[in-house]
Amino acid sequence: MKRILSLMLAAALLLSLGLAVSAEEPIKIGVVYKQTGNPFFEAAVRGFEEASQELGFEFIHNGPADSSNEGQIQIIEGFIQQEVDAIAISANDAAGVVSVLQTAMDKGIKVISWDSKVLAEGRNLNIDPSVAQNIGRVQVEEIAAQIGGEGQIAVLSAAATHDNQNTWIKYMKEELEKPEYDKIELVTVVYGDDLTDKSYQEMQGLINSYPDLKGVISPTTVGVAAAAVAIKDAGLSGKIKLTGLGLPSEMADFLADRTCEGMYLWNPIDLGYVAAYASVAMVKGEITGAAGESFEAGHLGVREISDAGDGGTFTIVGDPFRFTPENIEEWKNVY
Amino acid sequence: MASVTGKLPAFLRRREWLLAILVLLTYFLFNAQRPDNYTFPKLLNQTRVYMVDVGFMALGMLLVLILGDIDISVAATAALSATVMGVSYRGGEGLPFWAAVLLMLLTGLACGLFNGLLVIRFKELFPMIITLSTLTLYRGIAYIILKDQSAGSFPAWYAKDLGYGSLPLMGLEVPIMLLCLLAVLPFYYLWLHRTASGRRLFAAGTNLTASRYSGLHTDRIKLTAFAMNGLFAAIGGFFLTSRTGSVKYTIGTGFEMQAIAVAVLGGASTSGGRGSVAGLLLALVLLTALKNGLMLLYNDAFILNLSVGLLLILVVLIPNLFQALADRRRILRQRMQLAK
Repeated sequence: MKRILSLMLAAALLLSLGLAVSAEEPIKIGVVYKQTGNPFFEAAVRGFEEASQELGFEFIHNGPADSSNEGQIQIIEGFIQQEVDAIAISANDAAGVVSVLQTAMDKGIKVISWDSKVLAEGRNLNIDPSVAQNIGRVQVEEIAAQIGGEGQIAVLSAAATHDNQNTWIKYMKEELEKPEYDKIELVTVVYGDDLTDKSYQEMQGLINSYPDLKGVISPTTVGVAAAAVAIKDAGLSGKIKLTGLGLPSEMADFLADRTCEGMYLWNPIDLGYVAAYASVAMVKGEITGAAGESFEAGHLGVREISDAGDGGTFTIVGDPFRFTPENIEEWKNVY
Repeated sequence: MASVTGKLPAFLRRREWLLAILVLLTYFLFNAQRPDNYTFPKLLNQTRVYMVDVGFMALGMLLVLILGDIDISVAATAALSATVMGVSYRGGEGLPFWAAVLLMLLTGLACGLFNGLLVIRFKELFPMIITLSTLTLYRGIAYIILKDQSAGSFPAWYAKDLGYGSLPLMGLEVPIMLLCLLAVLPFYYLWLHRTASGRRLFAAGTNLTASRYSGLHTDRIKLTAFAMNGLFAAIGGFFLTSRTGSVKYTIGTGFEMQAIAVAVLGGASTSGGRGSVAGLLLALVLLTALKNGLMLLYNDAFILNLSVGLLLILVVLIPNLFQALADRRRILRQRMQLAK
């Protein structure tokens, strides 16, 4: 009896100790990305790491192996279970994670989407890498210059449920309406689901279906790398021009051999970094995610939050940067 | 090992006991590692993620496995059914939701029936090959219907209350969809183990030829099992979609393997004649407890798949290996006695 009593006392003591510690627990952020093993997201996680060293928060990160919506839901449920303070997500399906994120918000968890947004009703704030219109415009300008302003082009996208892809493609189409692009015809948009093999097959399909194809825009790092391989394998380097959003480390060889003569990307490390600062500011109650607010994003300076036009709000990280065969050497080891 | 199991009473040697012990072991192991987050109420909440949609698919799969057949098209069936529901409801502008759901269930039934017809018509082909082709067929049709788009905007009671709602029961928050699964189980059990039509399944699975000569309509039994499997797949798809709130043609990819794993872990044999509802439920609980624990500990998607493989080896392969060893030793001993 005595032993049981002392055990219970010890347990109670431990419990109260645990409670005392939990009062000063550091902020915990759950980071969800589209898929594991994607270097773009590995770089973004480095941004979270940098920010966590500066701000002293904890974060856990995970993405599904198959870039599925179900996989992301499973991970989000796990994060809710672990009582994270904020969830920062790049969504595979803008609509598909709304319900589960709403249950998270009901529990007081802040939700920030970055890279690829969640519908407004399922988030507190969205972090866009850059002004979407610019991202669409620069890629059209690039491919137009490469093919000499004339001929058929196609888009090899990630997935039709990726909101960022759809928005950029929408702006590409708007840009192509302009009179200077009259002689350029966008023949199709195909989807490689950000899977290397499917993207490669889709690119092969484009080559076979459109013998007069002059250029391809692939606004996704997985897609543009797979497209480069497919074009090279078909012996069409230089004949079918390629641009898009590519990781310098993955595209260095193709820029060097001029399969791709110019492509864009923003810094994924900065993207993760800003998303981390936004999450922490929101957990601390410094911002709520409303339009007109602003927060300090470490060495990247102050970010303004504005109306995203979809019922929610957003902020941006920076401008897309152009990579060319000339400057790729200095970037290929950075990210 | 053989001598130990040999001395145990028959009911203790059943698979269910091994599973129950593993469930407890898993629970206490992870609970010790993560006492704050890996608790019974939280685990109960996670059942919606790991247990319900796969559970319904496994209920269908069990019927086919008992017959000694297999159906690897169930996840594709679920995807096609969910696609039909999403497209016919069209975010509120198409059919009323109940009609869309009815259409979904009928689609599942039709897919299952088609599988069954092929299986009894082409007896020389393995059901594995037949359903491999219908797997790509059903998902292909889903792709033709939806292309790369997704369908969604379902009613709130479905995508929110059914998908994420729970009911307070005995001080615990029990997910509504788990209650749905648990409500079906007793009826399923009674039908499978206690009615003539359920027992016929076991008879046909144990020895098809003997059953046919004893006057059983084995083709009709097979057809029913495959059709019901399709229906259960559609029900699984119904619950899966309530959580995602949106349907893409890729929905539920790979779930057929989980369904097979659950049924086999639960004691079903791929050579037919064996299968247990209690075992299936315990296997579901075990996988939920294990996957959730691994998720908390490692935050790594790959490790979850690995765990299923390890479990199958532990629960199915190793006991079978010991059984085979014991059998061989018994035969050797008999031979020695004969030699004397």
